[in-house]
Amino acid sequence: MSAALELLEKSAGEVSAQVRSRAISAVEVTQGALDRIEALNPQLRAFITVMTKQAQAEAAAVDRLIASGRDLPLAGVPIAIKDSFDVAGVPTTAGSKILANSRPQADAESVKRLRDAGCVVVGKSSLHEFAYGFTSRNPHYGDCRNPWDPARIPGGSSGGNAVALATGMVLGAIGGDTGGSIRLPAALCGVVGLKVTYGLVSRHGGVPLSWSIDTVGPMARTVADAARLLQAMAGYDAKDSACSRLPVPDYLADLGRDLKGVRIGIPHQGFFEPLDPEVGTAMQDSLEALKLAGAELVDVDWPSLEPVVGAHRSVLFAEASAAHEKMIRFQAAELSDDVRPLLQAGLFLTSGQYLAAQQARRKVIEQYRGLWSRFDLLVTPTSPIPAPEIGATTTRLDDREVPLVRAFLDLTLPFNLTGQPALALPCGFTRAGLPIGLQLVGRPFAERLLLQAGAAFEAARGLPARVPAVVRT
Amino acid sequence: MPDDQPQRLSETTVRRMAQDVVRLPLTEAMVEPVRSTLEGLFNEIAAIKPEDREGFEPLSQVILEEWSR
Repeated sequence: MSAALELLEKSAGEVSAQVRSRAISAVEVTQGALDRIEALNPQLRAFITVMTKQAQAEAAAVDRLIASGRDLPLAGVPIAIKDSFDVAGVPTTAGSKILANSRPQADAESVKRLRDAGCVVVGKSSLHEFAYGFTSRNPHYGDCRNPWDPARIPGGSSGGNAVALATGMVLGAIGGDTGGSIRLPAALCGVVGLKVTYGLVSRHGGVPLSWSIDTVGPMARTVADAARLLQAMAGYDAKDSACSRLPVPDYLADLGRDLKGVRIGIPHQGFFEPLDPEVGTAMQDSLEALKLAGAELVDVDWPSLEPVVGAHRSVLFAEASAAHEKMIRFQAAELSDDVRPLLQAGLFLTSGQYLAAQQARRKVIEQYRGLWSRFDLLVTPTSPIPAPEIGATTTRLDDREVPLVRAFLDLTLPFNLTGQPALALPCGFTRAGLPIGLQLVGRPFAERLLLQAGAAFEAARGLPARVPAVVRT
Repeated sequence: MPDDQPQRLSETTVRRMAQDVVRLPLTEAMVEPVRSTLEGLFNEIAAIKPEDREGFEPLSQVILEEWSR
Protein backbone atom coordinates (compact mmCIF):
# COMPACT_ATOMS: atom_id res chain seq x y z
CA MET A 1 0.00 0.00 0.00
CA SER A 2 1.41 3.41 -0.92
CA ALA A 3 2.10 6.00 1.72
CA ALA A 4 -0.57 8.18 0.08
CA LEU A 5 -3.20 5.69 1.18
CA GLU A 6 -2.15 5.36 4.81
CA LEU A 7 -5.49 6.32 6.27
CA LEU A 8 -4.12 6.84 9.75
CA GLU A 9 -2.25 9.89 8.54
CA LYS A 10 -5.17 11.52 6.80
CA SER A 11 -8.51 13.06 7.62
CA ALA A 12 -11.75 12.36 5.80
CA GLY A 13 -11.57 15.93 4.54
CA GLU A 14 -8.12 15.40 3.03
CA VAL A 15 -9.01 12.06 1.45
CA SER A 16 -12.23 13.34 -0.12
CA ALA A 17 -10.37 16.39 -1.49
CA GLN A 18 -7.78 14.11 -3.09
CA VAL A 19 -10.45 11.84 -4.54
CA ARG A 20 -12.38 14.83 -5.90
CA SER A 21 -9.22 16.19 -7.52
CA ARG A 22 -8.49 12.65 -8.82
CA ALA A 23 -5.06 12.66 -7.15
CA ILE A 24 -6.07 9.26 -5.78
CA SER A 25 -9.07 7.09 -6.55
CA ALA A 26 -11.85 5.96 -4.27
CA VAL A 27 -10.97 2.41 -5.31
CA GLU A 28 -7.41 2.82 -3.97
CA VAL A 29 -8.61 4.35 -0.71
CA THR A 30 -11.18 1.61 -0.22
CA GLN A 31 -8.63 -1.10 -0.88
CA GLY A 32 -6.36 0.49 1.73
CA ALA A 33 -9.18 0.30 4.26
CA LEU A 34 -10.05 -3.28 3.35
CA ASP A 35 -6.39 -4.34 3.63
CA ARG A 36 -6.15 -2.90 7.11
CA ILE A 37 -9.42 -4.58 8.12
CA GLU A 38 -8.14 -7.91 6.82
CA ALA A 39 -4.95 -7.52 8.85
CA LEU A 40 -6.48 -6.37 12.14
CA ASN A 41 -10.07 -7.55 12.34
CA PRO A 42 -9.30 -11.15 13.33
CA GLN A 43 -7.67 -9.84 16.52
CA LEU A 44 -9.81 -6.79 17.29
CA ARG A 45 -13.25 -7.86 15.98
CA ALA A 46 -14.22 -4.35 14.91
CA PHE A 47 -16.54 -5.70 12.20
CA ILE A 48 -19.26 -8.32 12.17
CA THR A 49 -19.63 -8.14 8.39
CA VAL A 50 -16.93 -6.90 6.00
CA MET A 51 -18.47 -5.82 2.69
CA THR A 52 -15.44 -6.34 0.44
CA LYS A 53 -17.13 -6.75 -2.95
CA GLN A 54 -19.88 -4.22 -2.33
CA ALA A 55 -17.31 -1.66 -1.12
CA GLN A 56 -15.09 -2.16 -4.16
CA ALA A 57 -18.09 -1.74 -6.49
CA GLU A 58 -19.31 1.30 -4.57
CA ALA A 59 -15.86 2.91 -4.74
CA ALA A 60 -15.70 2.33 -8.48
CA ALA A 61 -19.10 4.00 -8.82
CA VAL A 62 -17.83 7.00 -6.83
CA ASP A 63 -14.83 7.30 -9.16
CA ARG A 64 -17.16 7.25 -12.18
CA LEU A 65 -19.33 9.98 -10.70
CA ILE A 66 -16.29 12.14 -9.97
CA ALA A 67 -15.03 11.59 -13.51
CA SER A 68 -18.44 12.69 -14.83
CA GLY A 69 -18.18 15.96 -12.91
CA ARG A 70 -20.34 15.25 -9.86
CA ASP A 71 -19.35 17.10 -6.68
CA LEU A 72 -19.44 14.67 -3.75
CA PRO A 73 -18.38 16.34 -0.47
CA LEU A 74 -17.26 13.04 1.10
CA ALA A 75 -16.04 11.32 -2.07
CA GLY A 76 -14.31 8.03 -1.36
CA VAL A 77 -14.36 8.28 2.45
CA PRO A 78 -14.48 4.73 3.87
CA ILE A 79 -17.01 4.39 6.67
CA ALA A 80 -18.27 1.79 9.14
CA ILE A 81 -21.94 1.38 10.01
CA LYS A 82 -22.85 0.14 13.46
CA ASP A 83 -24.63 -3.14 12.86
CA SER A 84 -27.90 -1.86 14.26
CA PHE A 85 -28.50 0.32 11.19
CA ASP A 86 -29.65 -1.04 7.84
CA VAL A 87 -27.47 -1.32 4.77
CA ALA A 88 -29.45 -2.69 1.85
CA GLY A 89 -28.82 -6.37 1.19
CA VAL A 90 -26.59 -6.93 4.24
CA PRO A 91 -27.83 -8.45 7.52
CA THR A 92 -28.57 -6.04 10.37
CA THR A 93 -27.74 -8.32 13.29
CA ALA A 94 -27.79 -5.69 16.07
CA GLY A 95 -25.13 -7.98 17.53
CA SER A 96 -27.70 -10.73 18.07
CA LYS A 97 -27.85 -14.13 16.43
CA ILE A 98 -31.64 -13.80 16.44
CA LEU A 99 -31.36 -11.25 13.60
CA ALA A 100 -28.50 -12.97 11.75
CA ASN A 101 -30.68 -13.74 8.73
CA SER A 102 -32.30 -10.31 8.37
CA ARG A 103 -32.01 -8.81 4.88
CA PRO A 104 -33.05 -5.15 4.80
CA GLN A 105 -34.19 -3.93 1.41
CA ALA A 106 -33.11 -0.31 1.87
CA ASP A 107 -30.44 1.75 3.59
CA ALA A 108 -31.15 3.49 6.87
CA GLU A 109 -31.70 7.19 6.15
CA SER A 110 -28.37 8.24 7.69
CA VAL A 111 -26.54 5.59 5.63
CA LYS A 112 -28.29 6.73 2.45
CA ARG A 113 -27.30 10.35 3.08
CA LEU A 114 -23.63 9.50 3.63
CA ARG A 115 -23.59 7.32 0.53
CA ASP A 116 -25.21 10.12 -1.46
CA ALA A 117 -22.35 12.35 -0.26
CA GLY A 118 -19.78 9.91 -1.64
CA CYS A 119 -18.91 7.73 1.36
CA VAL A 120 -18.07 4.07 0.78
CA VAL A 121 -19.47 1.59 3.31
CA VAL A 122 -16.81 -1.03 4.05
CA GLY A 123 -18.63 -3.00 6.74
CA LYS A 124 -21.06 -3.44 9.61
CA SER A 125 -19.30 -2.83 12.90
CA SER A 126 -19.41 -4.71 16.19
CA LEU A 127 -21.62 -3.75 19.09
CA HIS A 128 -22.99 -4.96 22.38
CA GLU A 129 -26.07 -7.13 21.66
CA PHE A 130 -29.01 -4.84 20.82
CA ALA A 131 -26.78 -1.91 21.85
CA TYR A 132 -27.78 -2.78 25.42
CA GLY A 133 -24.41 -2.55 27.18
CA PHE A 134 -21.17 -0.63 27.41
CA THR A 135 -18.44 -3.27 26.94
CA SER A 136 -18.95 -4.48 23.31
CA ARG A 137 -18.37 -8.02 24.53
CA ASN A 138 -20.40 -10.29 22.32
CA PRO A 139 -20.69 -14.09 22.65
CA HIS A 140 -22.32 -14.42 19.23
CA TYR A 141 -19.77 -12.57 17.07
CA GLY A 142 -16.70 -12.31 19.32
CA ASP A 143 -15.53 -9.73 21.85
CA CYS A 144 -14.48 -6.41 20.34
CA ARG A 145 -11.09 -5.37 21.78
CA ASN A 146 -9.42 -2.06 22.56
CA PRO A 147 -6.58 -1.42 20.06
CA TRP A 148 -4.50 0.40 22.69
CA ASP A 149 -4.49 -2.77 24.81
CA PRO A 150 -6.39 -5.75 23.43
CA ALA A 151 -6.85 -7.13 26.94
CA ARG A 152 -9.19 -4.17 27.61
CA ILE A 153 -12.70 -3.26 26.45
CA PRO A 154 -13.17 -0.60 23.77
CA GLY A 155 -16.35 0.65 25.45
CA GLY A 156 -19.76 0.37 23.91
CA SER A 157 -22.15 -0.12 22.58
CA SER A 158 -20.63 1.34 19.37
CA GLY A 159 -17.25 -0.26 20.16
CA GLY A 160 -16.48 -1.54 16.65
CA ASN A 161 -16.68 1.97 15.20
CA ALA A 162 -14.19 3.37 17.71
CA VAL A 163 -11.75 0.51 17.12
CA ALA A 164 -11.99 0.85 13.34
CA LEU A 165 -11.34 4.61 13.56
CA ALA A 166 -8.46 4.34 16.01
CA THR A 167 -6.67 1.85 13.76
CA GLY A 168 -7.30 3.57 10.43
CA MET A 169 -9.66 0.91 9.09
CA VAL A 170 -12.14 3.73 8.32
CA LEU A 171 -12.29 7.53 8.42
CA GLY A 172 -15.87 7.86 9.59
CA ALA A 173 -18.69 5.91 11.16
CA ILE A 174 -22.36 6.00 12.08
CA GLY A 175 -23.09 5.16 15.71
CA GLY A 176 -26.04 5.26 18.06
CA ASP A 177 -26.18 6.79 21.55
CA THR A 178 -28.89 6.09 24.14
CA GLY A 179 -26.80 6.30 27.34
CA GLY A 180 -23.26 7.01 26.11
CA SER A 181 -22.84 4.45 23.32
CA ILE A 182 -21.04 6.83 20.97
CA ARG A 183 -19.14 8.89 23.54
CA LEU A 184 -17.84 6.13 25.81
CA PRO A 185 -16.09 4.07 23.10
CA ALA A 186 -14.80 7.31 21.57
CA ALA A 187 -13.22 8.18 24.94
CA LEU A 188 -11.76 4.74 25.61
CA CYS A 189 -10.30 4.42 22.10
CA GLY A 190 -9.11 8.01 21.58
CA VAL A 191 -11.44 9.15 18.79
CA VAL A 192 -14.22 11.72 18.38
CA GLY A 193 -17.91 10.92 18.89
CA LEU A 194 -20.92 13.22 18.68
CA LYS A 195 -24.18 12.41 20.43
CA VAL A 196 -26.56 14.74 18.60
CA THR A 197 -29.68 16.54 19.80
CA TYR A 198 -32.64 14.16 19.91
CA GLY A 199 -34.41 14.62 16.58
CA LEU A 200 -31.51 16.14 14.60
CA VAL A 201 -30.60 12.96 12.67
CA SER A 202 -33.15 10.46 11.39
CA ARG A 203 -33.36 7.17 13.26
CA HIS A 204 -35.12 5.51 10.33
CA GLY A 205 -33.67 2.10 9.52
CA GLY A 206 -32.20 1.53 12.97
CA VAL A 207 -33.03 -1.21 15.49
CA PRO A 208 -34.60 0.69 18.40
CA LEU A 209 -33.43 0.46 21.99
CA SER A 210 -35.41 3.34 23.54
CA TRP A 211 -37.70 5.31 21.25
CA SER A 212 -37.75 8.51 23.30
CA ILE A 213 -33.97 8.56 23.87
CA ASP A 214 -32.25 6.96 20.85
CA THR A 215 -30.00 9.17 18.72
CA VAL A 216 -27.86 8.52 15.65
CA GLY A 217 -24.60 10.37 15.25
CA PRO A 218 -21.16 10.53 13.62
CA MET A 219 -17.86 9.18 14.88
CA ALA A 220 -14.56 10.28 13.36
CA ARG A 221 -10.85 10.80 13.97
CA THR A 222 -11.12 14.61 14.19
CA VAL A 223 -13.77 17.14 15.13
CA ALA A 224 -13.74 18.60 11.61
CA ASP A 225 -14.46 15.17 10.15
CA ALA A 226 -17.33 14.69 12.58
CA ALA A 227 -18.69 18.04 11.36
CA ARG A 228 -18.40 16.93 7.73
CA LEU A 229 -20.29 13.73 8.43
CA LEU A 230 -22.97 15.52 10.44
CA GLN A 231 -23.46 18.02 7.62
CA ALA A 232 -24.53 15.16 5.37
CA MET A 233 -26.54 13.24 7.99
CA ALA A 234 -28.58 15.98 9.70
CA GLY A 235 -31.97 17.30 8.75
CA TYR A 236 -35.65 16.50 8.50
CA ASP A 237 -36.81 13.06 7.43
CA ALA A 238 -40.54 12.34 7.15
CA LYS A 239 -39.86 8.68 7.93
CA ASP A 240 -38.85 9.53 11.54
CA SER A 241 -41.66 11.01 13.62
CA ALA A 242 -39.16 12.59 16.04
CA CYS A 243 -37.17 14.41 13.36
CA SER A 244 -36.95 18.19 13.70
CA ARG A 245 -37.85 20.53 10.83
CA LEU A 246 -35.30 23.15 11.93
CA PRO A 247 -32.95 24.19 9.11
CA VAL A 248 -29.49 22.62 9.18
CA PRO A 249 -26.73 25.20 9.76
CA ASP A 250 -23.24 25.12 8.25
CA TYR A 251 -21.35 23.03 10.81
CA LEU A 252 -18.00 23.77 9.20
CA ALA A 253 -18.38 27.55 9.17
CA ASP A 254 -17.04 28.23 12.67
CA LEU A 255 -14.27 25.64 12.78
CA GLY A 256 -11.05 27.53 13.34
CA ARG A 257 -12.67 30.29 15.39
CA ASP A 258 -11.46 30.76 18.96
CA LEU A 259 -13.71 30.64 22.04
CA LYS A 260 -13.69 34.32 23.02
CA GLY A 261 -17.08 35.13 24.54
CA VAL A 262 -17.96 31.47 25.12
CA ARG A 263 -18.75 30.59 28.74
CA ILE A 264 -18.01 27.00 29.75
CA GLY A 265 -19.49 25.59 32.96
CA ILE A 266 -17.57 23.20 35.22
CA PRO A 267 -19.89 20.99 37.30
CA HIS A 268 -17.53 19.76 40.00
CA GLN A 269 -19.98 17.63 42.00
CA GLY A 270 -20.85 14.33 40.41
CA PHE A 271 -18.75 14.83 37.29
CA PHE A 272 -15.23 15.73 38.50
CA GLU A 273 -15.15 13.63 41.65
CA PRO A 274 -14.21 10.94 42.07
CA LEU A 275 -11.84 10.53 39.12
CA ASP A 276 -8.90 8.29 38.35
CA PRO A 277 -5.89 10.52 39.21
CA GLU A 278 -4.52 10.45 35.68
CA VAL A 279 -7.94 11.41 34.30
CA GLY A 280 -8.03 14.23 36.84
CA THR A 281 -4.65 15.55 35.66
CA ALA A 282 -5.73 15.38 32.02
CA MET A 283 -8.91 17.27 32.90
CA GLN A 284 -6.96 20.05 34.62
CA ASP A 285 -4.71 20.34 31.56
CA SER A 286 -7.82 20.39 29.37
CA LEU A 287 -9.41 23.24 31.32
CA GLU A 288 -6.19 25.21 30.78
CA ALA A 289 -6.41 24.47 27.05
CA LEU A 290 -10.00 25.73 26.93
CA LYS A 291 -8.87 28.95 28.64
CA LEU A 292 -6.00 29.22 26.18
CA ALA A 293 -8.56 28.96 23.37
CA GLY A 294 -10.34 31.99 24.81
CA ALA A 295 -13.17 30.44 26.82
CA GLU A 296 -14.40 31.86 30.13
CA LEU A 297 -14.66 29.04 32.70
CA VAL A 298 -17.54 29.19 35.19
CA ASP A 299 -17.87 27.00 38.30
CA VAL A 300 -21.36 25.56 38.56
CA ASP A 301 -23.27 23.89 41.41
CA TRP A 302 -24.85 20.80 39.92
CA PRO A 303 -27.97 19.07 41.24
CA SER A 304 -27.88 15.42 42.28
CA LEU A 305 -27.54 12.88 39.50
CA GLU A 306 -29.47 10.18 41.42
CA PRO A 307 -32.99 11.03 40.15
CA VAL A 308 -31.52 11.52 36.67
CA VAL A 309 -30.04 8.03 36.71
CA GLY A 310 -33.30 6.57 38.08
CA ALA A 311 -35.40 8.26 35.43
CA HIS A 312 -33.07 7.19 32.62
CA ARG A 313 -33.06 3.57 33.83
CA SER A 314 -36.84 3.46 34.10
CA VAL A 315 -37.49 4.90 30.63
CA LEU A 316 -34.75 2.82 28.99
CA PHE A 317 -35.76 -0.50 30.58
CA ALA A 318 -39.46 -0.02 29.86
CA GLU A 319 -38.99 1.08 26.25
CA ALA A 320 -36.30 -1.51 25.40
CA SER A 321 -38.44 -4.35 26.70
CA ALA A 322 -41.52 -3.07 24.88
CA ALA A 323 -39.52 -2.80 21.65
CA HIS A 324 -38.20 -6.37 21.92
CA GLU A 325 -41.05 -8.08 23.80
CA LYS A 326 -41.67 -10.77 21.19
CA MET A 327 -38.04 -11.91 21.29
CA ILE A 328 -38.02 -11.82 25.09
CA ARG A 329 -41.07 -14.06 25.30
CA PHE A 330 -40.26 -16.51 22.53
CA GLN A 331 -36.47 -16.47 21.92
CA ALA A 332 -34.98 -15.64 25.33
CA ALA A 333 -32.63 -18.61 25.25
CA GLU A 334 -30.90 -17.17 22.19
CA LEU A 335 -30.04 -13.87 23.92
CA SER A 336 -26.64 -13.38 25.60
CA ASP A 337 -26.46 -13.98 29.34
CA ASP A 338 -25.88 -10.31 30.17
CA VAL A 339 -28.56 -8.78 27.92
CA ARG A 340 -31.33 -11.34 28.57
CA PRO A 341 -32.01 -10.32 32.20
CA LEU A 342 -32.05 -6.63 31.27
CA LEU A 343 -34.71 -7.21 28.64
CA GLN A 344 -36.71 -9.53 30.88
CA ALA A 345 -36.55 -7.17 33.86
CA GLY A 346 -38.05 -4.30 31.86
CA LEU A 347 -41.29 -6.24 31.53
CA PHE A 348 -41.74 -6.10 35.32
CA LEU A 349 -41.86 -2.28 35.45
CA THR A 350 -45.25 -0.68 36.08
CA SER A 351 -46.85 2.13 34.12
CA GLY A 352 -46.64 4.19 37.33
CA GLN A 353 -42.87 3.82 37.45
CA TYR A 354 -42.55 4.77 33.79
CA LEU A 355 -44.77 7.84 34.13
CA ALA A 356 -43.01 8.97 37.31
CA ALA A 357 -39.74 8.79 35.41
CA GLN A 358 -41.18 10.87 32.59
CA GLN A 359 -42.37 13.45 35.14
CA ALA A 360 -38.87 13.59 36.64
CA ARG A 361 -37.44 13.82 33.13
CA ARG A 362 -39.51 16.93 32.37
CA LYS A 363 -38.30 18.50 35.60
CA VAL A 364 -34.65 17.69 34.79
CA ILE A 365 -35.04 19.31 31.35
CA GLU A 366 -36.46 22.47 32.96
CA GLN A 367 -33.72 22.43 35.60
CA TYR A 368 -30.90 22.05 33.04
CA ARG A 369 -32.46 24.71 30.85
CA GLY A 370 -32.22 27.09 33.80
CA LEU A 371 -28.62 26.10 34.53
CA TRP A 372 -27.66 26.75 30.90
CA SER A 373 -28.58 30.43 31.31
CA ARG A 374 -25.23 30.85 33.13
CA PHE A 375 -23.02 29.29 30.47
CA ASP A 376 -22.98 28.16 26.84
CA LEU A 377 -21.29 24.78 27.13
CA LEU A 378 -20.60 22.34 29.92
CA VAL A 379 -17.29 20.48 30.22
CA THR A 380 -16.88 17.12 31.97
CA PRO A 381 -14.75 14.03 31.63
CA THR A 382 -16.40 11.53 29.29
CA SER A 383 -15.35 8.70 31.59
CA PRO A 384 -13.80 8.88 35.08
CA ILE A 385 -11.48 5.98 34.26
CA PRO A 386 -9.53 4.71 31.25
CA ALA A 387 -10.49 1.40 29.62
CA PRO A 388 -10.76 -1.46 32.13
CA GLU A 389 -9.75 -5.04 31.44
CA ILE A 390 -12.20 -7.35 29.72
CA GLY A 391 -14.31 -9.08 32.34
CA ALA A 392 -14.13 -6.33 34.98
CA THR A 393 -17.50 -5.32 36.45
CA THR A 394 -16.36 -2.76 39.01
CA THR A 395 -13.62 -0.16 39.43
CA ARG A 396 -12.02 1.51 42.45
CA LEU A 397 -12.53 5.24 42.76
CA ASP A 398 -11.52 7.06 45.96
CA ASP A 399 -11.15 3.70 47.72
CA ARG A 400 -14.73 2.75 46.87
CA GLU A 401 -15.74 -0.16 44.68
CA VAL A 402 -18.02 1.33 42.00
CA PRO A 403 -20.02 -0.72 39.47
CA LEU A 404 -18.75 0.05 35.97
CA VAL A 405 -22.28 0.77 34.78
CA ARG A 406 -22.41 3.70 37.21
CA ALA A 407 -18.81 4.84 36.69
CA PHE A 408 -19.26 4.98 32.93
CA LEU A 409 -22.83 6.02 32.28
CA ASP A 410 -23.51 8.53 35.08
CA LEU A 411 -21.44 11.14 33.22
CA THR A 412 -23.07 10.60 29.83
CA LEU A 413 -26.69 9.53 30.35
CA PRO A 414 -27.98 12.83 31.84
CA PHE A 415 -27.78 14.36 28.37
CA ASN A 416 -29.60 11.43 26.79
CA LEU A 417 -32.42 12.02 29.24
CA THR A 418 -32.58 15.71 28.34
CA GLY A 419 -31.91 15.18 24.61
CA GLN A 420 -28.95 17.59 24.51
CA PRO A 421 -25.95 17.27 22.18
CA ALA A 422 -22.62 16.13 23.63
CA LEU A 423 -19.23 15.78 22.01
CA ALA A 424 -16.58 13.32 23.22
CA LEU A 425 -13.01 13.95 22.13
CA PRO A 426 -9.50 12.87 23.16
CA CYS A 427 -7.79 14.98 25.82
CA GLY A 428 -4.81 12.91 26.91
CA PHE A 429 -3.23 9.54 27.57
CA THR A 430 -2.34 7.67 30.74
CA ARG A 431 1.26 6.67 31.40
CA ALA A 432 0.29 3.19 30.20
CA GLY A 433 -0.83 4.68 26.91
CA LEU A 434 -4.60 4.48 27.33
CA PRO A 435 -6.73 7.33 25.92
CA ILE A 436 -8.63 9.79 28.13
CA GLY A 437 -11.73 11.60 26.89
CA LEU A 438 -13.30 15.00 27.41
CA GLN A 439 -17.04 15.74 27.04
CA LEU A 440 -18.53 19.06 25.94
CA VAL A 441 -22.30 19.49 26.22
CA GLY A 442 -24.48 22.12 24.56
CA ARG A 443 -28.03 23.38 24.40
CA PRO A 444 -30.36 21.49 22.05
CA PHE A 445 -29.41 22.07 18.39
CA ALA A 446 -26.17 23.84 19.38
CA GLU A 447 -24.00 21.37 17.47
CA ARG A 448 -22.37 24.21 15.53
CA LEU A 449 -21.00 25.80 18.72
CA LEU A 450 -20.11 22.40 20.14
CA LEU A 451 -18.05 21.52 17.06
CA GLN A 452 -16.42 24.96 17.05
CA ALA A 453 -15.39 24.44 20.68
CA GLY A 454 -14.18 20.92 20.00
CA ALA A 455 -11.99 22.06 17.13
CA ALA A 456 -10.63 24.97 19.18
CA PHE A 457 -9.85 22.56 22.03
CA GLU A 458 -8.06 20.16 19.67
CA ALA A 459 -5.89 23.01 18.41
CA ALA A 460 -5.14 24.39 21.88
CA ARG A 461 -4.48 21.01 23.49
CA GLY A 462 -2.24 19.95 20.61
CA LEU A 463 -2.02 16.27 21.45
CA PRO A 464 0.74 14.58 19.46
CA ALA A 465 -0.49 12.00 16.97
CA ARG A 466 -0.28 8.46 18.38
CA VAL A 467 -0.88 5.11 16.77
CA PRO A 468 -1.86 1.95 18.63
CA ALA A 469 1.04 -0.52 18.72
CA VAL A 470 -1.18 -3.20 17.23
CA VAL A 471 -1.24 -1.23 13.96
CA ARG A 472 2.55 -1.26 13.64
CA THR A 473 3.04 -4.98 14.31
CA MET B 1 -45.04 6.73 52.20
CA PRO B 2 -42.07 4.84 50.77
CA ASP B 3 -39.11 4.57 53.14
CA ASP B 4 -35.42 4.89 52.29
CA GLN B 5 -34.53 1.26 52.97
CA PRO B 6 -33.11 -0.55 49.95
CA GLN B 7 -35.71 -2.86 48.45
CA ARG B 8 -34.92 -6.59 48.70
CA LEU B 9 -36.46 -9.05 46.27
CA SER B 10 -36.54 -12.79 46.78
CA GLU B 11 -36.40 -15.36 44.04
CA THR B 12 -39.83 -16.54 45.18
CA THR B 13 -41.28 -13.09 44.60
CA VAL B 14 -39.73 -12.91 41.14
CA ARG B 15 -41.05 -16.36 40.21
CA ARG B 16 -44.53 -15.40 41.41
CA MET B 17 -44.53 -12.05 39.58
CA ALA B 18 -43.25 -13.70 36.42
CA GLN B 19 -45.95 -16.34 36.53
CA ASP B 20 -48.96 -14.37 37.81
CA VAL B 21 -48.38 -10.81 36.64
CA VAL B 22 -45.94 -10.62 33.73
CA ARG B 23 -46.81 -14.05 32.29
CA LEU B 24 -43.16 -14.53 31.43
CA PRO B 25 -41.76 -18.05 31.33
CA LEU B 26 -38.49 -18.11 33.31
CA THR B 27 -36.27 -21.18 33.59
CA GLU B 28 -34.67 -21.75 37.01
CA ALA B 29 -31.35 -20.46 35.62
CA MET B 30 -33.01 -17.21 34.54
CA VAL B 31 -34.55 -16.35 37.93
CA GLU B 32 -31.49 -15.09 39.84
CA PRO B 33 -30.17 -12.81 37.03
CA VAL B 34 -33.63 -11.24 36.72
CA ARG B 35 -33.94 -10.93 40.50
CA SER B 36 -30.61 -9.14 40.91
CA THR B 37 -31.26 -6.88 37.90
CA LEU B 38 -34.71 -5.95 39.21
CA GLU B 39 -33.46 -5.29 42.73
CA GLY B 40 -30.86 -2.83 41.46
CA LEU B 41 -33.31 -1.29 39.02
CA PHE B 42 -36.06 -0.76 41.61
CA ASN B 43 -33.60 0.85 44.00
CA GLU B 44 -32.28 3.21 41.32
CA ILE B 45 -35.82 4.17 40.35
CA ALA B 46 -36.65 4.69 44.03
CA ALA B 47 -34.05 7.48 44.02
CA ILE B 48 -36.69 9.58 42.25
CA LYS B 49 -38.25 11.28 45.27
CA PRO B 50 -41.70 12.94 45.17
CA GLU B 51 -40.05 16.38 45.05
CA ASP B 52 -38.12 15.30 41.95
CA ARG B 53 -41.34 15.09 39.92
CA GLU B 54 -44.23 16.81 41.69
CA GLY B 55 -45.87 19.56 39.67
CA PHE B 56 -44.71 18.23 36.32
CA GLU B 57 -46.73 16.34 33.73
CA PRO B 58 -45.03 13.28 32.27
CA LEU B 59 -43.01 14.01 29.16
CA SER B 60 -45.00 12.50 26.31
CA GLN B 61 -43.00 13.78 23.35
CA VAL B 62 -39.43 15.05 23.26
CA ILE B 63 -39.55 18.47 21.60
CA LEU B 64 -36.49 20.64 22.17
CA GLU B 65 -36.78 23.38 19.54
CA GLU B 66 -38.03 25.99 22.01
CA TRP B 67 -34.99 25.67 24.30
CA SER B 68 -32.83 28.34 22.71
CA ARG B 69 -30.55 31.10 23.78
